[in-house]
Amino acid sequence: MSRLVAHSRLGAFSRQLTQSNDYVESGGIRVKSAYEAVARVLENRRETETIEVKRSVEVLNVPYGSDKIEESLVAITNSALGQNGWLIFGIDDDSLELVGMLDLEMKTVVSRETREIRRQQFSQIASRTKPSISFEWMELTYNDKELVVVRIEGRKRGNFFQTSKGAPLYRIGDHTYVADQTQIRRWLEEPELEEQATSPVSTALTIYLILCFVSLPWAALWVLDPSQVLRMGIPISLGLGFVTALAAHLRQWKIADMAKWCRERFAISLLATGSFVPATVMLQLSLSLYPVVSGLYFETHLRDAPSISLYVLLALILGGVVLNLPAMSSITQAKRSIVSWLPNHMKLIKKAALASLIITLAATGIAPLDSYLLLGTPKVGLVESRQVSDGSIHIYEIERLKFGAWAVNQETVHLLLPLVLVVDRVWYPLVGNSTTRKPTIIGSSGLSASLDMDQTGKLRGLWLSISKPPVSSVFVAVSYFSELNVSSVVAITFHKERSIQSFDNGTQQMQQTFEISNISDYALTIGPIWLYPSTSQFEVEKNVTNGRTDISYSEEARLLYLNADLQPDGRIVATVTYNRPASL
Amino acid sequence: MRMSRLVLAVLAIALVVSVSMMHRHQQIPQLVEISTKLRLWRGVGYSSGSFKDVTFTLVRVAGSGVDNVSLSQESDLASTAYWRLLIVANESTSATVKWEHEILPGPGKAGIYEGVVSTSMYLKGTFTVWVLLLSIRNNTTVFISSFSQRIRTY
Repeated sequence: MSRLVAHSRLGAFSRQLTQSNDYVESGGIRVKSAYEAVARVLENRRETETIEVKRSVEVLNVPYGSDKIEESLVAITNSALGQNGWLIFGIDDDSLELVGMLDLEMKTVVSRETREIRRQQFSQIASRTKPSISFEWMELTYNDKELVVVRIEGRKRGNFFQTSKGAPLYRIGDHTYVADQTQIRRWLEEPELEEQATSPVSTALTIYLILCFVSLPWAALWVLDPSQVLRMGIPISLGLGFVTALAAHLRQWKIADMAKWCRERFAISLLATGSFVPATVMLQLSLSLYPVVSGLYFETHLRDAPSISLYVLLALILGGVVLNLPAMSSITQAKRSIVSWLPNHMKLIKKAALASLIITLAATGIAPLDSYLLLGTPKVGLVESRQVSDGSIHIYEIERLKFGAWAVNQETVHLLLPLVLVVDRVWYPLVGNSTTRKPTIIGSSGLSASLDMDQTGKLRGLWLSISKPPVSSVFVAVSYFSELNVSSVVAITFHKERSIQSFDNGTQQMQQTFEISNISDYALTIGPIWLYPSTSQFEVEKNVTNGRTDISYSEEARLLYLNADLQPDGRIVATVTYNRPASL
Repeated sequence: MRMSRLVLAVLAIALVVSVSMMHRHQQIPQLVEISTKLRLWRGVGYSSGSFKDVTFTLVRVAGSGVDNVSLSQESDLASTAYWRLLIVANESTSATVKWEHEILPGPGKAGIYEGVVSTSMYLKGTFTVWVLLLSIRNNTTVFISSFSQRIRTY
């Protein structure tokens, strides 16, 4: 159907049409995708200024076939001002029926190898035009028929194309004409469209760039230090915006070109960002493994990395939708674009999947590896434990003839710091069993420490927040108490108390013997142990080995009480004779 | 053998990562430095003393050891007595790590000596570290004081 006729045959009506920018630019409506181009031809049963069909790619293989294709290419490009033109192989140019990838006789299917040869021939044709024409060779399936659709980049304002023989062709409707001097002058004198800030493309691009300039650097800052997101994020985002605006001004970038550039790279950006989502999920799993390999628990904002990566991905998707909205005329078209995009980007998708796998594997190994290499998380380097740090076990009386024992312990934890600290707080497990005696932090350097107690008041660990900037020596020393089994450290025996005599006023003189033996490896500090209600008159007969003992009278409590210190193997045998008042 | 650019790139990355990891691993402290702050007495024919402090720190490089014990209060008398510091780290599953050092400060004078003796040891695991101060007088070794500490390294 494509016919080459002399411009002189074009009537006044046609000349009038060529002066209409709308008609020349679009041939009615702009076509955005290969599917849409095919659908338009099949539905309307006609070619347009920007869409031409050929029965077979084998037209490239007949005498003068390449010349005809070159003419078609130049004519479509010159007619597709500021938009794409389309050359479709696989639709019969007489009947406009879908025929698929058949040869010119429509008998045999054109093999893939032959199509590749035709593509190379086509490329040679496109490169010999003046100037050379940009195109994209696409193979797609439409209604179960294979087609080759070539997207041809249309000319820009103030430019035009010629064949290698110098013919400046263009199309009106489905006819091809040679441009005369008037037409060529008109092309050359076309004013550039003014890019208005308020145009949909400009607005879409601005929204897209804002979303990119905010989400990506803010996410990176969040990984390093969440407290810096607002403080540094705003200047960085503003700086990126300023640099982009300055570059656009100096390099004279056009809004449409910038939007196109962004649109073309949107897919790779989306895949790159999306590839981090599984990686962050594996990072979370990896962090949960960290205590198993290092014996140290920690709180880190990186546990929220999957959420953050999803937010970034959503921001990018939102930006991409906004960016592509002006170029989409309908949801159906958007759907077609996506459907046509997938098969044409399989290589990219495979690469992205491979990159995602590598990043995911790296994320899986981060925490276990970090416990040896200290890249982002600290590690316990050295722990000094001193049981019974004051050298003495303390014996006290719980109730009459029932005793308890406790000791004070000391633990000093030295931390090794990573290259980049990405951990907020570290939890170090430290178990104390005393509910009545509270532990104390007796020293620290390079960190602030707080005690983690359970509901019953027992020590179960330490929360450590490492100071920024970190110092070279980072440690915390804590003193805590342990309740001991008293029978394992001391043997206390009270013999039967006996009455010696009774006085007239009812006071009874009593006598009791008791023995205390240190059976531990440590010194014992015993007392006060309240012995008997008594008057201030009493006698003590004692035999002390490796230690000292003191039995005294409390005026206030009117009781005798005992204090003693016993070295290992120390023993006290004491007999106390005292007066028990009648009132008791 | 002809290698693709991808293989070369992967090999280059693997090399850079391996070298970086090895370098980083070498930076991580692996040794425990034991510093003993001492206060020592030296008389004619005897020596004694005590520990003022014993500290444990992690260090990366093994130093040659420090002994800066020096005379702080001088006496007119001469003395040949001296001290020996013995550090023993016991672990149930491996051999004992032992370090011994004779403290022989400057002029053979009686008096009070003070200073720090330190050494670094490769201790991996759980150890009971004993620091023993011994007096050497007339070729006789006499125990003066001891300090023990349980440590765990990771």
